[in-house]
Amino acid sequence: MMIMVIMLVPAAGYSITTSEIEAELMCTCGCTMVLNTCKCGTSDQMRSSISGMIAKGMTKDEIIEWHVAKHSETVLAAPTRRGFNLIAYIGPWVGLLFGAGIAVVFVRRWTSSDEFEDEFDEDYLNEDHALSDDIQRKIDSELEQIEEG
Amino acid sequence: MVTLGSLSQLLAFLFTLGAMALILLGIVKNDMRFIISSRRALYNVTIFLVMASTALVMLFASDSFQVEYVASYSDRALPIFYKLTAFWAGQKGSLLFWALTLGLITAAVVRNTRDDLERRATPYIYLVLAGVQSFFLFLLVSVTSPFELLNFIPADGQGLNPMLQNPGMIFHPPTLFLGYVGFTVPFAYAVAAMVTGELDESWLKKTRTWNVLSWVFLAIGIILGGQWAYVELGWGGYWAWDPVENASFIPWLVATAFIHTAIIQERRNIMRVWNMVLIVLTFVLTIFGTYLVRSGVLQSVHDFGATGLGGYFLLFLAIVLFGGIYLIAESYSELRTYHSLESYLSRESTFLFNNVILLALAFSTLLGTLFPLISEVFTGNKITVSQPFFNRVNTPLFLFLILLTGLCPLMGWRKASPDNLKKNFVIPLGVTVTGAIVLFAAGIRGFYSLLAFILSIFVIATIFREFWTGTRARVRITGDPAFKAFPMLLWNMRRRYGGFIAHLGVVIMVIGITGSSAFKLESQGTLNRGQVIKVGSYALRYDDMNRYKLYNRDIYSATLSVFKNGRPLGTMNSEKRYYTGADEPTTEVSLRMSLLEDLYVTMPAIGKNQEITLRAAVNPLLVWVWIGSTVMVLGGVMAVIPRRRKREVEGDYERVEGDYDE
Repeated sequence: MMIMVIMLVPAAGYSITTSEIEAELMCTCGCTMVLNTCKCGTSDQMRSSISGMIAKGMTKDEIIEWHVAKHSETVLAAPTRRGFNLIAYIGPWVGLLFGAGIAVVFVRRWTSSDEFEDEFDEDYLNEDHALSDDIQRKIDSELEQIEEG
Repeated sequence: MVTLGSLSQLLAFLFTLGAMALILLGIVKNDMRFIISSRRALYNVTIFLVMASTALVMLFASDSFQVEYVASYSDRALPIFYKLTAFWAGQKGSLLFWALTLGLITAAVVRNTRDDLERRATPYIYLVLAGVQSFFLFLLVSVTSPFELLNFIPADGQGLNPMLQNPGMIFHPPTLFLGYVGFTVPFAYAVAAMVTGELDESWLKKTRTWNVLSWVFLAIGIILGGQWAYVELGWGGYWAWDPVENASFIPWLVATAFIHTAIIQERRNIMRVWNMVLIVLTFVLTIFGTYLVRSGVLQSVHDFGATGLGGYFLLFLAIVLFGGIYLIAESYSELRTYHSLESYLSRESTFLFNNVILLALAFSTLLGTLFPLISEVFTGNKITVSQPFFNRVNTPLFLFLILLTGLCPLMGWRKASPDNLKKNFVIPLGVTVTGAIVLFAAGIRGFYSLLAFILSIFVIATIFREFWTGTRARVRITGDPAFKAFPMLLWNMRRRYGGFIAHLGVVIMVIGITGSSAFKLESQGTLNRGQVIKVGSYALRYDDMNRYKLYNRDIYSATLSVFKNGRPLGTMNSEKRYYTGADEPTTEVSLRMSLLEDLYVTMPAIGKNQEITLRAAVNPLLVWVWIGSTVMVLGGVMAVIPRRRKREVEGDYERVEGDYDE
C-alpha cells in the first residue's frame, strides 16, 4: 500500500524557481529566518528581486553571488565550502569515522577476548551473584540450624 | 496572590536546601531518621511549588497587570484558555513550570523508593534531585521571579504573541519540559550508582520507564513544535534546524542511543561505562539546550533573548559536566566489564554502530548550531548556518541510521549464523528490490529521495517479517487464529514489539519527510476576485473577502474555490488576523489534508482593492510525518506499559514470551 502511495507522487521536474534560491539565502531583516520561511516586508522585496533576476535569465549561482556581494557571506543560509568553514562540513564525518573506528576496535577486542573465556566460565560472569537479603537470611538460618543440629 | 506566590517559592527553596542538609547528615551519620525527614521536606517542596504555580495562574486569570510577568504575556482580551497557559509563555514562568515539574517528579521518585530506604543509593538519588531543584529555585528566588511587581498598574497588558495563540503551542512547551526534566531521574540514579559503587544493571531497570517516558515526552514536544510551525508560521515546513529546535533534538538523539544500549546492558551486562557516559551526556545536553535558549548567545526565531541567566546555566553546566566526568573516571575500573561480543554479525554490534550514527548526528547538529560562534572566535566572521547545511550533512547520516534500523532485527543476539542470516534476509531483500524497481519505474530519480524510500521499504519489510514470524509461532503454540494471535503477541511482548512499532513510526516519518521535501510544488500570485492560481493539479479561485471580529482579533477571510484536475472540491478560507495590541497581522494557514498530499495555502498580503497575494503549495505525503510520529510515540508508550505480576503457574508459551521479551 505504501509503495502504491509513493507511486502516486509525481516525479519532480528541474528548473530554477524562486523558492529554490530562497532556500539558500537568509532574510536580511534580522529575523534569523531562511528567506523561504520568512514573511516580512523585506523578504517580499527580496523575493520579487529574485523573480526579476530569474526573468532576466540569471543563473542560480549568479543570483546568489549578487546577494553575497550586496550583503556579505552572512546572507548565505549555509557556509561556503572553503577555508575555515570546511571544518563544519568535514567535522561530522571525522566524528563518525572516529566513532566507528572506536566501535570497530572494541568489537574486535571483545570478539577476540578468549583469554577471559579460558579463565572464567562466561555464563558465570553473565550472572548477577549478589545475594538478596532474603536469600542471605535463609542461608544464615539454615547454617545456624546445621550448627545447632 | 503575589505574596502567596513569592512566599511559596521562597519556602520551596528553603525546604530544598533543608532536604539537602538532612540527606547529607543522614549519609554522614548513617542515620535513617534524617533521610526519612528529608523525604518529608521534598514532599513539602512539591506542595509549595504547586501553591506558587496556582498563584501565578490565578494572577493571569484575574488580569493582575501590576505583576510584570502577567502584564508582559497577557491582556484583557486574551481568551481564558490562553491566559492560563501564558504561565509558561515567557522565561520566568517557564522556569517556575520547570521547577514544578521537577518537584512532581521528585515526589513520585520519593514515593516509589519508600521500600528502598535501606539501599545505599537512595539518599544520593534524593540529593541529586534536590541539588538540581535548588539550582532552579535559586534562579526563581534571587534572579528572575515571575512575581516581580511593576511600580505602576498598567490599564492593560501587552498580550500574548499572536503566534503563540495556537493549541499546539499550549502543549508543546510542557511536553518538552517533561522530557527535559524527566531525564533528571535516570541521571540521579546513575550518579547514585557511581557514588555508592552499586553498579549492576539495577539502576537501569529502575529507571527504564523514566528513560522511555522522558524520551517519549521530548519526542511529543518536538513533534508538536513542528506541527505548530507547520500550521501557524505559514512557510509550509515543520522543521527549520533553528538553534532552539536543535537544542531539543540533540539530547533526544543521545537519549535514543542510550535507550538502545541500555537494552544491551540489561541483557548482557556490557557497555556499562558507555551507558553512564550517555545518560550524563543526555542530562548535560538538556541543560545545555536550556542555556542556549536563555543565554542569547545564538540568534533564533524563538529564544528568550539575553535573559541574564546564561552565566548561571553555564556554571551549572560545568558542575554537572565535570562532576559527571569525574565520577565516571573514578568508577571506570568497577564499570569495566569482561564480557565479550561474539561476532560483528550480532544484534549487539548493530546497536553499537547505531549508537555511533546517532552520536554523529548529535555531534553534527551541535557543531552546526555552534559554528557561527566558533567561526566568530577563530575568524572574526559570524557566518550563518541554517537549513541547507543541516540537510546536506545530516541526510546521509540519517540514511545510514535507517539502514541499521532495518539490519538490526535480522541479526540474532550474540552471533548470527550464515544460514540464519540468509533465511532472515531473503524476504526483506526481495521486497526491497521489488519496491526499488517500482519506484524507479514510477519516475523517482533523486538520489537521496529514491534511497530514502528504498531503505524505508527495507525497514518496513523487516518489521513485518518480525510480526509475521512471531504471529506464526504463537498460532503454532496456542492454536489461536492469526487475527487473535497477532494482537495477543503485541500485547504479551509489548516491550519488544513496542520497539518495533516505534521503528515503524520512524520510517513512516521518513517517507513523509522525503515526500514533502523532495516533491514539494509551490506557486505564488496576486489575484483579483474571480482570478485563479494553479499549483500542481490544483486550481484556486478567489471568490470573496469577508471581515469579522472574534475574541481579540479582526479577521479578513478570503474564500477560495478549490479544483483538482478541473473537478470542484469545495472551498477554503485563507485568513489574515489583526490581534489587539499586536504590531503586525498574522497569516493563518488554510490546509486541505489527505493521505496523498496537503494543499497548503497562505495569504501574505491584502491590497487596497481587496486583491490578494496567495501562496499555495502541494506537500506530498506530509500527513505521514504526523501519522509516523504518532505511531513512534505509541510504540514508545507501549514498550513501558508495566506487566501485571505473573501468577505462579502459567502456560508454557507465556513463560517463553516473558524470557524473550526484549
